[in-house]
Order: sequence, then structure tokens, then C-alpha cells
Amino acid sequence: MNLLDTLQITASGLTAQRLRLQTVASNMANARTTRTEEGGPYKKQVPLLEAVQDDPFGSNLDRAMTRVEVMGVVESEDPPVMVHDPGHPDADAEGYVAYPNVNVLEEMVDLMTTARTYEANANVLDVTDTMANTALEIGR
Amino acid sequence: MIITAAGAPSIPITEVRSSEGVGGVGVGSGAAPKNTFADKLTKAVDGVSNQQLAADDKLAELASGENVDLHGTMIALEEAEITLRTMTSVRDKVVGAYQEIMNMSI
Amino acid sequence: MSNVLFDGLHQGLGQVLDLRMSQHSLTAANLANTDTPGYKAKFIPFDEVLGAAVNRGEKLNLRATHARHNPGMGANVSEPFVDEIEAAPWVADGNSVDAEREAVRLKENATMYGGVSRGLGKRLSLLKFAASNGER
Repeated sequence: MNLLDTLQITASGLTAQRLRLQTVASNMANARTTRTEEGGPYKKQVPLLEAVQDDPFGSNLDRAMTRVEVMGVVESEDPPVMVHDPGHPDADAEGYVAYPNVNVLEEMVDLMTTARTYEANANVLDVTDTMANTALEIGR
Repeated sequence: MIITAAGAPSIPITEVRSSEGVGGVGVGSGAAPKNTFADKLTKAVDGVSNQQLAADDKLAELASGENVDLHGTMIALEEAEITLRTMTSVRDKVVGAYQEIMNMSI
Repeated sequence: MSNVLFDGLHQGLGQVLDLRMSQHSLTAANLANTDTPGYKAKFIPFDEVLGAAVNRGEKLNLRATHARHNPGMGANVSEPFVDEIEAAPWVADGNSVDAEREAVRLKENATMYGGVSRGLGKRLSLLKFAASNGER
């Protein structure tokens, strides 16, 4: 089994989680942003993750070795949260202000799972390193 | 093995005969040579070989997941190595002693 | 001559190390895809793959020819059967990766890899000692 491929898989996991962290950070920072350049409130950012096979024509085992790739970051189409506040500068004709479709509690949970998954992937990296060193000692 | 003033050596002749000689032929002793050096050597070699086989078995059990006994397996492997090295040292000493004797001028 | 020196156990140990390394890679893939929608966690069912060799009463003679005698099991050691875990029905994105399960599997697999690796190393050093006529 190619050790370098394994490292690439773990690297992809770490990158994906770091990107997720960025979207969570952006969402939390903009949870109350009512105006944006395109008009309208900030829309929650959602990373799109996909499992990518490096060897789709290989054996059962080869095809199971999938990395993860971030295919893109899209904006959530969930409706904004409407709050009645006629005095607000961004209130519309009926006096409603459109707040971002970001649920801060959800983002907090995402933040925790992202951190934990990042840690798990980093742990795999450590173990890969240990196993490689053990293998190198076979002949010693 | 002191020859005292009284004259009698402290080791009887039959015992001397049965503990010398790799061939282990107890001439005229009549007793079965259970304790000859050759027997002891054979038993030791068997012991080393058995130890190696036992270590192999433990390693196979570990690898196949049948009996995951990490320290037991490692200890068995170490024991096999130690007995092998001991056996080799003994062999070297015996060969050395033999050569020394052969080089003695009569 | 190498067939005499490097017997079935030696080959078998090497194959077990291959399997353990492959399992490690599967764990890496699973943890990398913790959040990928629809991804199913994969693993090598060691009890099945290795158990067959043990039950035949051989000393871990895991050669491909033996595996072909059991075609129904798919227990070909060089191309092992890879099991998938189905996602629980209440999981929204269909992802079946469980971080705790992967963590346990990771450690257990690494321990076995280390144990077999060290055992192989010790056995080899014994052979080396014997082969060099008792000199280090």
C-alpha cells in the first residue's frame, strides 16, 4: 500500500476541515449582517464536499481509497429571517428587516465538529508516521 | 578431585568414564548412559529448536489475530534468541576445548 | 534456497502487514470524508479475512492460491474484501463515518501493525544470527 497516497488522503481531510472552518468563521462573523454588495442580507456559506477516487479502475481496495475535495462554496438558499423593526435603516416597505439565514447555534456545533475532525485527521497523520518508522526498524 | 594422602582418588573410575568422551560409550560400566554429555547436548539442541518453534507459533497466532498476546509473543521471541545465542556460545567453547586438546602434544 | 529460508510464516507475516497498512489507509479515507454527503465508511473485516487461514489449521500460510479455495468468501489476501458500513437512517447526509469507531480501529490496527512488524524483525535477526554462523 502506497504510504504517500495515504498521506495525501489525510492532507485532503485536513484541508477540507480548514476550509469548513473558514466558512463557519465567515458565517458567525456575519450572522447579523443585513446588507451586502449584491443587496440583501448575508447568506450562509456552505462548503460542498465530494469523495474523489484516485484510481477508479483499480481493485476493490484501490477504489476504496478516496480523498475528499471541496468542490466549491455555495450560498445557502434558506430564506432569511424576517424581523419586524420599522426603525431599522434596512427595513423594507412593510417594516421587516431581513437577517441572514445563519443559525449561530448550528454554527457553533459545526465549529466543534470541525475542530474534532481536524484533530482526528491530524492523529491519523501521527499514527502513519509511527507505523512508517516501525517498518523502517524491521531490519535493524 | 583430590588425591589424598590416604591414596584413594575421590572420584570413582566408572563416573570418570561416563562423563568423558562425546561418543558416550560407557565401557564396562553396564549402566544405561542417561546422563552422557552427548545426551545433554542433544536435549539442549532440541530445547533451542522447540523454543524457536514455540516462538513461531506465538507470532503466527498474533499475526492472525487468534491470540493477541503482545508481551507474551515478544518474550517468546527474545527467549528463542537468547537460547540460540547461548547454544552457539556453548558450541564455540566446546569446539575450542576440543581443538585445544587435539593440539596437545602427547 | 530462499524458499527454505523464508517460509510460509515469513510470507504470511508480510501479507498481514500489507493488510494492516491497507486498513490504515481506509481509516485515513474515512476520517478525511467525515463530512462528505453519502460517503460510506469502509474497513477490512480481519476476522473473516485472516480467520479462514487460521481455521484451516495452517501456520498462517496466507498465499493467494489458498484463498482461491474459498471463492465464496472473497477472502483473497492480496485483494481483500472491503466491507462498507451503512449510514443510520436518521443521518441527513447519508454519511456513515463514526469518529469514535474510526479512532478505536485506528489504534487497534496500529498496535497490531507494530506487534507483527517487531515480531518479524526479531525473527529476521534470529535468522541473520544463524546465517552468519553465530557471529553478530
